[in-house]
Amino acid sequence: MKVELREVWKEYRMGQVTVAALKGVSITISRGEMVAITGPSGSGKTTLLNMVGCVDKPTRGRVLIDGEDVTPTPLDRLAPLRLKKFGFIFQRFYLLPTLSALHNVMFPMLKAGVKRAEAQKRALELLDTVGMRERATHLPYQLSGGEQQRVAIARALANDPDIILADEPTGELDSESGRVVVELLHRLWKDMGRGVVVVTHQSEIASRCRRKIVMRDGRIVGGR
Amino acid sequence: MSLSWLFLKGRRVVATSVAVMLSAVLVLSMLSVSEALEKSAEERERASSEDILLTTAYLSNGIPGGHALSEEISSDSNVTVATPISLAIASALVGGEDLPLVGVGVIPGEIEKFMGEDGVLFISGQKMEISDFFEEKGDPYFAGGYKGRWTGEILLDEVLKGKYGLRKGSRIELSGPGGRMNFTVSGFFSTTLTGGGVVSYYVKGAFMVHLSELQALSGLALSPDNGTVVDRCWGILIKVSEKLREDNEAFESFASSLKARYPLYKVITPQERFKRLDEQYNLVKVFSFSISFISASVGLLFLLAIMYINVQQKGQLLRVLKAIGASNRDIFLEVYLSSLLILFVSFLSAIPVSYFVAGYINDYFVSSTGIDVSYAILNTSVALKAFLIFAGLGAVLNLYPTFKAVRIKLEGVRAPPERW
Ligand SMILES: Nc1ncnc2c1ncn2[C@@H]1O[C@H](COP(=O)(O)OP(=O)(O)OP(=O)(O)O)[C@@H](O)[C@H]1O
Ligand SMILES: [Mg+2]
Repeated sequence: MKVELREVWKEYRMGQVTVAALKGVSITISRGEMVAITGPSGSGKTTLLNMVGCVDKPTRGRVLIDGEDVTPTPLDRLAPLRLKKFGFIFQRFYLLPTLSALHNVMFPMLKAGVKRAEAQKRALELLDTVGMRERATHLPYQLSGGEQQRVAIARALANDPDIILADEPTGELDSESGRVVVELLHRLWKDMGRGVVVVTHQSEIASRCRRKIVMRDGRIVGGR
Repeated sequence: MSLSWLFLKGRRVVATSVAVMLSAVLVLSMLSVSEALEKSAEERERASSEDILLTTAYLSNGIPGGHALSEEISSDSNVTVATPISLAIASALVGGEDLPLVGVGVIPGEIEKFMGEDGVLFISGQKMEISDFFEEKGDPYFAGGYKGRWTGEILLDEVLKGKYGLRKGSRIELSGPGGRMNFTVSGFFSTTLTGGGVVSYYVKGAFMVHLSELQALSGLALSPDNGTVVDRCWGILIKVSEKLREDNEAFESFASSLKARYPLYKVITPQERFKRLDEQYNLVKVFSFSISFISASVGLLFLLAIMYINVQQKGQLLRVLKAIGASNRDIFLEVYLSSLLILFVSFLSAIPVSYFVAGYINDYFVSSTGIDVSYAILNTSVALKAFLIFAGLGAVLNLYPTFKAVRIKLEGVRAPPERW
């Protein structure tokens, strides 16, 4: 799968002032790549990532998924796309607090129409992959931050996505837990052949990615 | 379909359920009471063998010459029996206390003809269950121009039995506008006459005596100015012949001939009582339905408010749900089904509670009348009615927080955590 951004602008109007978070960004990201996005705070990294993952719409420019222009499609209609093609990992994990680790991982599968037994089997496998199988029945509040993020990675993998999008996935973790998470993301790319896009401030993480994009003031100023 | 039940956790949900449950209990009890009032009044009307009641439009005046008037009416071939009755308030002096009671004055031998074989008597829709009766069937004190034989027989309300050590054969002094008189308890009866409501607040029970003795006690026998006999009574019970009973048209024309003959009095037929009852219970129904509606609204608005707050507070999680692939339809179901589930569970748990409440209400009334009538009936139809009110209102009201949730903008998921 391939996501293509062409001359994408994102502007926020706040009264008289217009803030441009993205100023004509063009970039292509494919399955099989591991990409780091770095840059100072406020440079537009999250905005760019959200354009790629179809959770936000550009003010101008086009977004193409496998060559198809999805710019005019309402965000709700893109829910199936987000469900099946992308995996999201958030800085704050955002596991559903009412569900156990296992059910958090099963949740996107059930939404995608996978049979319950099948979903459970695959969720357990994924929890195994991230080393959380023993904690399957635990609720999020019973897990540490690093453990929650590993469950979140398993959840992102639930529907076998092509591209995993992670916005500062280690931002809330200590260096040891962070290392485990980065190791997992690396494996997703290297062993499983997924596309992985990581927004990060940490140079050690960026250095593990073959492709590096540097942003400043809404523009890509380094890497391609 | 799979839900995360994001909104079904925490003390807040419990508090909400309890609030909704309480409002459901109120609705169920309200509807039960109105159902029971209607049913039991209807039943009483049906069981009643008093056909026509002649009474005054204004209670204060009373019908003068009650005995004579009854006799006049009885002479009509369409009438089986007509008998004067009197109602008055008097105080019983027992245990150093002044006990206000409502008294019924009857001519025993005649009122007997209105009683069922089980000793059940209805007067203007009020039920009396009489087990022990008077020895003297006539009204000898009246026959003697209010100087005749004083029987002193009195039947007392069942609720007074046991209290103050009253039993068969006890002596009791009553005081009324006509003076103080002595009676001997010859038995007990139970009645709805003082059952509940405002009446039971002022009046502690009922008694039944010979008509002329009640008239003497309440000053209705003689004119206060010159001491001539006035024989005032409250009304005349009329039982028509079997033939008239079967024939609606003949009955109607007899009733209107009575009206024409006694224009100063009210002639109340069963049809009119039914009509009056219908009007009365329509009012009760409208009232109880309004109260139910308001109470259900209050409970459900509480639920709405809590769901609204939940949606506001869990906004970011809802965005995350959307980001990981939940559609607007999924969000709709997530919120809507959660609130409906709270509603249903609360309603269901309200049913057994209301059942106990209905039982308690009945016990209360039974203990104050001694008659086994239902004052609150929680049956399937009542539960269904209440449920329809709840489900209907809930289904509409809960759309509001649900659409709030559906409308939450997915784009916001991008914002860094410190903004939340
Ligand atoms: N809803 C919004 N309204 C107005 N301005 C916004 C909004 N969202 C983002 N911005 C602005 O867009 C710019 C880019 O924001 P973005 O979150 O993409 O930066 P970032 O590179 O991810 O920063 P950080 O490293 O701090 O996460 C910032 O100047 C930000 O203030
Ligand atoms: Mg950011």
